[in-house]
Amino acid sequence: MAKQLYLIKEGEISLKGLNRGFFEKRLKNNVKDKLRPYHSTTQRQKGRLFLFVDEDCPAERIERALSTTFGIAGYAKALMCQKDTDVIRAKTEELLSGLDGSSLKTFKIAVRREDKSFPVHSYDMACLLAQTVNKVFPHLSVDLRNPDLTVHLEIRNQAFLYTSDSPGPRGLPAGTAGRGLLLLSGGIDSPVAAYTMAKRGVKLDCLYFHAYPYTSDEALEKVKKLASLIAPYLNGTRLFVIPYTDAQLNIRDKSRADATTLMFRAAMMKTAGRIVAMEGMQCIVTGEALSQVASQTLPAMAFTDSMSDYLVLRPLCGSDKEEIIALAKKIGTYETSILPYEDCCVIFSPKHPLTNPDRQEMIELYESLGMDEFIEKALLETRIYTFNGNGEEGETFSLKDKIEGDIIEQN
Amino acid sequence: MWAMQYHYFDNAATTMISDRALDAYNSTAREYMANPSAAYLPARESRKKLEECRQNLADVLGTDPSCLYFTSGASEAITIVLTSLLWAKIPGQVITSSIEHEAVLSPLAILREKGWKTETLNAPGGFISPQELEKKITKETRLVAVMAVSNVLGTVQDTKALAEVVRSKEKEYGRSIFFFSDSVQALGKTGLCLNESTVDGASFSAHKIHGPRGVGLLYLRNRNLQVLSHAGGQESGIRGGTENLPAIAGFAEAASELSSDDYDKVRLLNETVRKELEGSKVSILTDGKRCTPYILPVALHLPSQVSVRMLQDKGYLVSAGSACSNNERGKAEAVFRNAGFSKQAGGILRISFSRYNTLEEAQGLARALKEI
Repeated sequence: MAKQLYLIKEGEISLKGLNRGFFEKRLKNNVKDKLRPYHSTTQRQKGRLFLFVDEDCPAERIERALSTTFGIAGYAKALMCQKDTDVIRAKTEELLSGLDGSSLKTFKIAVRREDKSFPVHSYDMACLLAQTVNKVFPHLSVDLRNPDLTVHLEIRNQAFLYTSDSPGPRGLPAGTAGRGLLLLSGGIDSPVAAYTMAKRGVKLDCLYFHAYPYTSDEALEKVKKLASLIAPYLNGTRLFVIPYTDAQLNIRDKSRADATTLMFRAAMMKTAGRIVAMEGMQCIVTGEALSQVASQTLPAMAFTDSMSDYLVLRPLCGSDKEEIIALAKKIGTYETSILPYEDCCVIFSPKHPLTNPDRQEMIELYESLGMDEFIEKALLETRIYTFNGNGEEGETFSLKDKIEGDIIEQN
Repeated sequence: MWAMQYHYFDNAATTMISDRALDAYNSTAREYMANPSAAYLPARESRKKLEECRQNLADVLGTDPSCLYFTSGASEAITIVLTSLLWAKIPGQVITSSIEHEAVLSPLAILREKGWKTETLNAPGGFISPQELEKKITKETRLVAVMAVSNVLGTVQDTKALAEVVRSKEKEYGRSIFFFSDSVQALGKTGLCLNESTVDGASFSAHKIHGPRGVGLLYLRNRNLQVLSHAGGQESGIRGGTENLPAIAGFAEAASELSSDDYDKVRLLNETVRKELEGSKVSILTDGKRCTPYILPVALHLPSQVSVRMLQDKGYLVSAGSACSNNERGKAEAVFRNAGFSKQAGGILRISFSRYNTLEEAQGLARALKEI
């Protein structure tokens, strides 16, 4: 079967040294994962990844996959042919005849001659192709600064031709930096935090604290929707939903009122830490931004941080709300985040929360709540929803079954 | 089946269609398929059926069939009346109450845009006083809209006294003032007789009385209302568009089923819940006087939506008074605040009964309320 060819430009990966193969291999696998069930193959060549996909795979699907895969600086649909000037010129003509030239005024030819054994030099090759452009679109003139149309030719093991290229999300391929657990709420910030850390190569799963009936099933559906929306950037993710009603009621009943939010956040850190340990992850990611709410002041963060045994990353710590909203709109989570389903009920939010807590005092208070028992019980009832790299929901299972399954597998 | 799983106490939102209304709907859809406006014989049969239904509803409402116009529901009936003001060459003033339904408040935006002034009547405890209305009516007043029965509190307005104020002011100023009464929750739930009243217009809905969705009624005492569009000219040009005859037949059937026995039964259910809740931490907002027994507003210590979910898990469906949030106030909650229930507003539930509820169900609901 004929294949569709895409040329992928690697961004930061090309700066890597001896471990570059590791990053490229992950990028290749991430792209291939997203294109399944369609078959695809890749060829790696200096700073480029050539992707060959089954003819019947819709172009939108390929483009959606490439535009959401970190590690890609840009991509273009390309044509491949023999390294022969006549063949290249014929292929260029074929490429141009598929374009609507009526709105174009200017053009440029960009030639890259990676294979220095190719006898025609870049400049001469550009002149030859310019003649071809002139033949197909006689009304176009040359503009090297701001052309309406750029015809790219890259001469490598074969000759590759493409006209327009689209920007990729850049960053590093998901999974190259290790694994982490995102605390996902229904708000604007946490999906953006996920995007930001995935961009640096962290493979993320998500954790949501569900307090039914104090929070609604609609709130859970909203979080599932958010998980599916960020899943393409995370190259698939799992959403751990932990029933937290009893734990929250325990905090409300036993804690002093102004510290309930802090106690809740401390318990969230402890709970997340249990999953991080079980799953062999290396960090916890949150959407906290400094001083955004009472539990996100420096003293409050210092306290919640001290309750975690693992590295806590807060990628949005220095961002303001407008910046976060702009990014949320860009990645398409904003509209879902602002749906009016609360992720925390008002009865658990104190009227006057502490903003400058004493760390030692808070640690003692937390220890007096006896949260471990509630956390262990909630973990046993945790459900895991899965989303693939295209954001499609897959199977659901309980954490308990998963642990038992893992043990059987190990034996 | 759905009904087996839940005890339904949200009948002010919508009701289960009755068997007879559903049969009437089905048989009319088949037997009277012809468009009543067509020229052939079966169309004349459809026309006859339509007028029969109008007559049946006129009998139930105590009025003349020529005053009744079928609409797609109460919201459309209200919109027809309020937007008719847009024809006026000089904008005037509209008076509404602070507990009106969104269907009444929403068209006010375009009226304000066109230079109309709007005035709101207070409703302490859910009641609008004729004295306040008298003070607020001015020479510019062209329309007064006060709902007959509050959809969230169940309070019944003294429509007769309010209408009298409007009539005496009309004489004083020598200009007519349109008195509109959104009567959706009044039909079959209070003693309602349009002939004894001097309201100029009223709206009704079929699905609140075990009829089908998508059909309602506009009552107009006089036909001289200039509507925004009369489309194909049906319903005497008041509401154009092909008549929804199957739904109209279902509506007429449902209305003919209304009986004072049902009213007494529902009153018993209401009193039962009130009695059971006495001395509990669930407070009841109204004392039952000048209220329809069909609607019972209660306040709990939890956010409304949380209580709704807890009751749902116990098998009881009721309506939330408000949204569970600090910043997203629900519309019903605004009504509660306006009626002077600010303190309870976040935790109010609306229980609404129908003839299909049983005494055991009502007792069960009261028990469930006390448990949460």
